[in-house]
Amino acid sequence: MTMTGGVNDLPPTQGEAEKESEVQWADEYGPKSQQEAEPPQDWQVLLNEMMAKIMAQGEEAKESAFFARLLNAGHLMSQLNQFWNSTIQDLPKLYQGNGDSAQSKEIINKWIERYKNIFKEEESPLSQQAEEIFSFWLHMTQMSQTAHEPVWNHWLAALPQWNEQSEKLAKGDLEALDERLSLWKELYNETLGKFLRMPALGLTKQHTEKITGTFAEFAQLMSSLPYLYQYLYNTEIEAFKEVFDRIHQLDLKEMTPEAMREIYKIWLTTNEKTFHRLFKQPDFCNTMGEVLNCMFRFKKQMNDLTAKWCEAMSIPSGRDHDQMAMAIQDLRRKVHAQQKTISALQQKLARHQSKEAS
Amino acid sequence: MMQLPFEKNALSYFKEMEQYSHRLFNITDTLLKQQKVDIATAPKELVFQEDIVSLYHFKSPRAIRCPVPLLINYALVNRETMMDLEEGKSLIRNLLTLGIDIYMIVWGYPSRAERYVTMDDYIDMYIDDCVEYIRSEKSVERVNLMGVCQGGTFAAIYAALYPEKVRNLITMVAPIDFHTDDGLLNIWARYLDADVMVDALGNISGDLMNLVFLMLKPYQLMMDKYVGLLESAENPAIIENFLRMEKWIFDSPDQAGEAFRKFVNELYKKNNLIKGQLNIGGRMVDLKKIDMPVLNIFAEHDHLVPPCSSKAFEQYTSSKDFTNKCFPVGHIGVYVSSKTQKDLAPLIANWLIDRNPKTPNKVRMRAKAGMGKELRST
Repeated sequence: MTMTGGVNDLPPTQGEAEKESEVQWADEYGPKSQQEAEPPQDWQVLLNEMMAKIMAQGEEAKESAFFARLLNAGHLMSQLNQFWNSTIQDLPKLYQGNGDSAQSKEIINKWIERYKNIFKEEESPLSQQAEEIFSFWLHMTQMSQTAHEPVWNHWLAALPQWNEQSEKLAKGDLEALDERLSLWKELYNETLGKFLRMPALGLTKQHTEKITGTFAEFAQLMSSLPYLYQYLYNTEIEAFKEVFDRIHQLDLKEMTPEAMREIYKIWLTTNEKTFHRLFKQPDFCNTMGEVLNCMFRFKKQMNDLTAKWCEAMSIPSGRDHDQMAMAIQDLRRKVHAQQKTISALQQKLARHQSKEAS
Repeated sequence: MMQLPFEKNALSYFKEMEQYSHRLFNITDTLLKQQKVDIATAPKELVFQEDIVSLYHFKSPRAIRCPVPLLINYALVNRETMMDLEEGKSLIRNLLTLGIDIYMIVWGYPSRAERYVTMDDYIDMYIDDCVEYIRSEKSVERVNLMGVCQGGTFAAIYAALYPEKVRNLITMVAPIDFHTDDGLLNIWARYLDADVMVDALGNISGDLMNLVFLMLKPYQLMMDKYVGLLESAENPAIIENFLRMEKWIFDSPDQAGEAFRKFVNELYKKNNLIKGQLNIGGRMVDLKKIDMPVLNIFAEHDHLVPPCSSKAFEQYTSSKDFTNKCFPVGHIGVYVSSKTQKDLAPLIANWLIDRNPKTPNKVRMRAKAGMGKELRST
């Protein structure tokens, strides 16, 4: 056992230790280490060359089929490892693409191409069927990416805007709320809204469409409501500022009951006037109309859904009552028309009788 | 003696509190005693009924000075009881005292069965049947017709469709020209999809209508009104008046869905009445056919029916005897305000008496109207 010691063996200071650790980290995972990641490819080249040599030696060299197959399998494994290595390296790009559908498509297509190339090598140990089985998941991924594209890509693409609006909101910028609502509504209409409005299939088609339709109307209502609240909130704030200014102008010396009455009067009239101004604005009227119309459309969907359920349970629904009411009113009109005709005929008869009598 | 800095104000606040507690006690006491608030107490008799529509005949305490009866047609919104709120504030009683023979249409409370009653049914069927009943009952060729608010619009339409049955027309706070920016209702209606509303709700609930009316002046109608009551609740009579008004305001029948749909779409949205493009019962309504004398009453501070909406009536009729009369009050103030109590009833009564013969031309031969159900033996 030897002991090494001296000044150089003293424990490093904290700064030195950190530096040392950084150097170690860089050695391990830095660009150099990436260069060192090449050996598998060299090894693969070596294997290929070796295989080529063995194959070139003729039939007698192929006696050891087991050895050849083992080499092929090893080759395949190395190819697969390399594929996963490059695939994992692409993942950050996929995320950084922020839902850029062209970019994600390009990356996934690259994966597929690379994956297929693995099996294009000569002397693949897998049968064509097995290759297809191995490729199956990748095709599924591609399909899934295409299928989810209409939904997730929009949301991912909106992330930077979303974050920007959050920052603005945190700073008290209320306009950002309006922007966010518009963004949310736009995204909903482009994504989930489309799926909810899509026709359903099969035995439960009608029920499913009524349920998704009701949900879609509810979502529309919920997404339109905040606009209305925003108008009301902003107006309340505007009125509050005006009330504050007017009270300030009063220059009250003491807070007597009379002064309180005056303040109440100012608060009331200012609010009434401010809201009256709002209520006349076309933008507000438009928003209010939209909210109400959403509410009524949602109610109508609910009615339809309930009618469908009642139908299944042999219970008369609101729609059935409406049909009865319509029939009753039609009947009333017919009876009324007949009574009028009878009345006119009676008058005619009376005239005729009086003529005869005279 | 030392005085605390807040002593003076504190004392005035305590006095205020005491006063308000006393008023609150008064209100509670009146509410406890006043289990039932009576409105529309002028004696009347139900004379004709058809479906949910009733026709009442008021009993006159004096001799009739105007032989042609007056048929009052109130709006479908809220109830006609407003015109006879209490003894001191009753247009009906005042008119009766002045010798006017009054009939009143009561529209009733539409239920689900009335969901498909249309504006055409109201005008061409129910109003016409009531007019027919009176013509037959009183043996008169024509009646005096008075329409109030929406009922005024209906009365104008009826008079345009049946000018031969209307001797004089009185419209009170009635909207005629719907395209104005002076009223919030006129503005809001443009943004409302009445079709989807009726499809979803069927009949339009009275509570929903009331909510809309409250939203026109939210702070005043939902808060200040009650604060005002607290301010002046020393007198139980004031509280009773207030309760009568509350009873009327919140006694709101639902609106028959189809009638509401047509009223909003054809009138509020398209303004088809003044354009001559409104179709009722298969006939186009031409306001130029209104050639009888017209008394058009409106309110200067009306927030529901802007004065310009009523005033416009004059330019669309062919009447050579058209009188406009504006009162410096609000929509409801026309009937209940002390300012109008003295003037309104005499104005109507004198206007009618001046334009009616002493004895009406009796109709010699008339078969009884066959429609509806007559409830009084003649």
